Amino acid sequence: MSIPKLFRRSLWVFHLNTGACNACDIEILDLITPYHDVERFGIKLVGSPRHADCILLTGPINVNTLPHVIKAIEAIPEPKVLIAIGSCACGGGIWFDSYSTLGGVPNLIKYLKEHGLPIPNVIYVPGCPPKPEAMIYGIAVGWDLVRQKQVHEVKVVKVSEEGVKAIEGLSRELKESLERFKRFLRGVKS
Amino acid sequence: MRSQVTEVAKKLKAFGEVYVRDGVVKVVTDEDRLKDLILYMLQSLNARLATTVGVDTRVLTHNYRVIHIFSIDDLKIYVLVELKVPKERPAVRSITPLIPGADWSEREVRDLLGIEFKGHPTKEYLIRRPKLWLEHAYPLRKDYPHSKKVLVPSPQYDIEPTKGFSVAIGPYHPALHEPEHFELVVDGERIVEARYCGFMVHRGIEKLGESRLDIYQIPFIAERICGICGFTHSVAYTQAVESALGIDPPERAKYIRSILLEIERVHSHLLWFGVLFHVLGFDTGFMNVWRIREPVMELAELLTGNRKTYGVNKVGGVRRDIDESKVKKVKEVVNRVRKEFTELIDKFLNLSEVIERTKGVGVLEVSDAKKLCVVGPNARASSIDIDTRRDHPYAAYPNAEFKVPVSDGCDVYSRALVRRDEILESLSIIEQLVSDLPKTPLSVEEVPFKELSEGVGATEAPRGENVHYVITGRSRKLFRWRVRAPSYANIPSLLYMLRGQHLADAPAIIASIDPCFSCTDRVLVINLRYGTKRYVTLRKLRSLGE
Amino acid sequence: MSSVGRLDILKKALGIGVVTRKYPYVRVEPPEGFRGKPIIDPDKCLGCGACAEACPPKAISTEDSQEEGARYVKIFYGRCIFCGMCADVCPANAIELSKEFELASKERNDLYLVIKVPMVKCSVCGKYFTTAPLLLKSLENVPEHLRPIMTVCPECKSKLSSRFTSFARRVGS
Repeated sequence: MSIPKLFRRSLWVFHLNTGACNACDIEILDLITPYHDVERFGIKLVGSPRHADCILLTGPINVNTLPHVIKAIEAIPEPKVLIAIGSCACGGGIWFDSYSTLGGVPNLIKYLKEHGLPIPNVIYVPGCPPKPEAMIYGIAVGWDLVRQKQVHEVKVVKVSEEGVKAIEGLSRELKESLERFKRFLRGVKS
Repeated sequence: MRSQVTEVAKKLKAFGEVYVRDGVVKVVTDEDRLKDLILYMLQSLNARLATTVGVDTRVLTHNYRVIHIFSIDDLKIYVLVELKVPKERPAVRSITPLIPGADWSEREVRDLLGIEFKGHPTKEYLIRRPKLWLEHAYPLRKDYPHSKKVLVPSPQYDIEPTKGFSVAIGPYHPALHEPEHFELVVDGERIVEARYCGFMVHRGIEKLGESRLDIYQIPFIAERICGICGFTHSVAYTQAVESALGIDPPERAKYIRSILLEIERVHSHLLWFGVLFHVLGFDTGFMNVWRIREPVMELAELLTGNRKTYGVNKVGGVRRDIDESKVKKVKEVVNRVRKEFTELIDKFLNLSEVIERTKGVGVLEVSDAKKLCVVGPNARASSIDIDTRRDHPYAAYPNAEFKVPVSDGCDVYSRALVRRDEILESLSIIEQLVSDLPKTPLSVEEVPFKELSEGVGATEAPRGENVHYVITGRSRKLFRWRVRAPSYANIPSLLYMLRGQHLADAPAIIASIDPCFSCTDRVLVINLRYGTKRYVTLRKLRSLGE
Repeated sequence: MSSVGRLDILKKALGIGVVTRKYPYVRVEPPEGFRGKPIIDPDKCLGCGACAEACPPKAISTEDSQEEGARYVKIFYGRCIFCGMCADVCPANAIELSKEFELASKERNDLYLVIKVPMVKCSVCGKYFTTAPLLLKSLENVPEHLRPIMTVCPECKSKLSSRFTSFARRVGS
């Protein structure tokens, strides 16, 4: 479902820290201070998930916070969007395989699927911590106000003609010397 | 100093075997002589407990080890007290009855390693959650793989509401930006008892440091222990490893480390002022202080490549240089911040709203502060004069002149005054150090590795003393890494500060010790006794606080 | 006294004016040396995998595909911590941290950069064992008469050398 159709006016966000180091959280707080001032777009930080339209999630989803996180996500009324901020939320960060973290939003979505809970739309904002401008860009991307710059890219490394010929030549040389050696051995045996 | 070290070593010979290396004294003792040794250290040597470490050395010596780290501030040395714990049914005598500040560390060792402490006052869990964690999973033991999740296969995620008149603050609350859970048992408007159930930010850092990462990658994980004071953790770790391997980084690297440490202190204290004013409902103060703070973040971005999590530290030196053009910019920003800060802060702190809500609020008596081994500005606001930059000099601090502000008000207001003075001192230190950077290389050429070597590294983070203890292992990895963040020692003092206070002052008191739950929560949770009253909503509490 | 303090604060605040940066209507250029998105140059990449070894959060991973005869070097920007260790250890200086910080995306799959490096077959067993650019670079330091044996994979090489040594022993005896 396209996000602009769901939210026509200002966005009220709820900040949820699931065990992050706080760098992303102070950058989120930085958004409401005079230099970046997201209140000019109508974005407001609210105190309760019941008032929120979208949730700003930071942290690699700690095992000890799991019940609270699920309760908070369920408390947000539909329609809802989850914005995963920072490298911990987008992919588990540097502790993606630790014993006490779930490993970020992708694993949380898997967990919600397994337990049959509804899954919100997700926007990923990588960075460690992401700049406040990058977070504003993330919200703009989610609302389809700008075109997304980051796309899946595949680049192929090309080997030059001479390189290919050189390797084939060496391979042929080796096979010839092995053949010669085998014939020599057979000769010695007989 | 060498003579003082040998003197202390001689005095401690009566209690066990003594080893001395690099200014660190180690005493290997046993349970019978432990109490006498601790009393001797507290009374005659004026020692302060930093932390307690549990190590699984079953592969080396077929037993566990428990190490208590003490700091003797007047003589500038660290003393390690080591005890051997048997392999079967591991148990050792607790020192909490003598030093209440050892409470959390011993519970952490019990939760993560399974070592019992005989005589510990409580059996409550610190980090473990019985409903969520597997029964006999002890993650810090060597036979537990670091990626095996402790979550039970089918956790129940229904949270029981608290019974009775206890007000729950957290884990997600608008006054707090980190998940932690306070339960305040109230009688009318007065707080009778406080309970802390935190440790929701426990990410298994120490286990990762021993298993997947090698010594060159750990500065990056150390920096992400806390996003506000991360560089201090990185410097403390590299100092511990450098002391264990016997490396001395070049002078220019030490200067650059000190400059970035002070920049971090300035930004952290300005952030703290903003949060305090925000919690008191004074949003003008919050916005103005964070406006003053923004140029500091941009300066960090220019010097290191990122606004936070600088990533310039490595074992043996630094990765980036501060050249002439950047030196000019540093001086510009320092002058600008000093001018704007001094213009406004005294006006803010003299407003009657701020004074009435902070003077006499959240008092921590001097005797309680000493008992709990509180560190940092919280200790200095209760007239305890300790500062790691002066007591255990490291990096380039011996080359700078600075004062250590101390106040005797013991309340939230004096903590604000101490932090205000520290910002001005930090700006002066940055100016002194950046004006004469020595011309040496940025890091050592080679890092020679020594196996099974111990090291202690300490720095003064914005919140207090940060201690890292390291035992190197095989093939450039660590055997054990222990982090003691300052908030670990400061948060237990909250439970003393909150008693008898107004409910509406609770967020201000919690904010005043500058708690950094992500530094603290590598370990367990504490539980307190339980009241019985009605459940009050979070919104009501926030509105009470404004 | 406090009312004077309040008036002063108000005057100061009005005097400062507006400091808001009007992003996203104006461009924001990060300073020199900013650590943004790491980009691999396909003309220089050897496919050696040193970046994957050094990466602290293991955001770079390598995967060998025997069917296609190629090694895939993948960077997952979602987990990247922008530390720059990959750029420090790359022997060919193929990775550079650009100034790009606008990386938000709606799909997790969009956060990947994949480099496909062709591999070389072993002359004896036919298994793909190393990448072509890496082999060509390491041939530069090898004397002429030893170059053909570099096209053999490590297992076959050890088998051959044991055959040679056992033969040499028999001849010696």
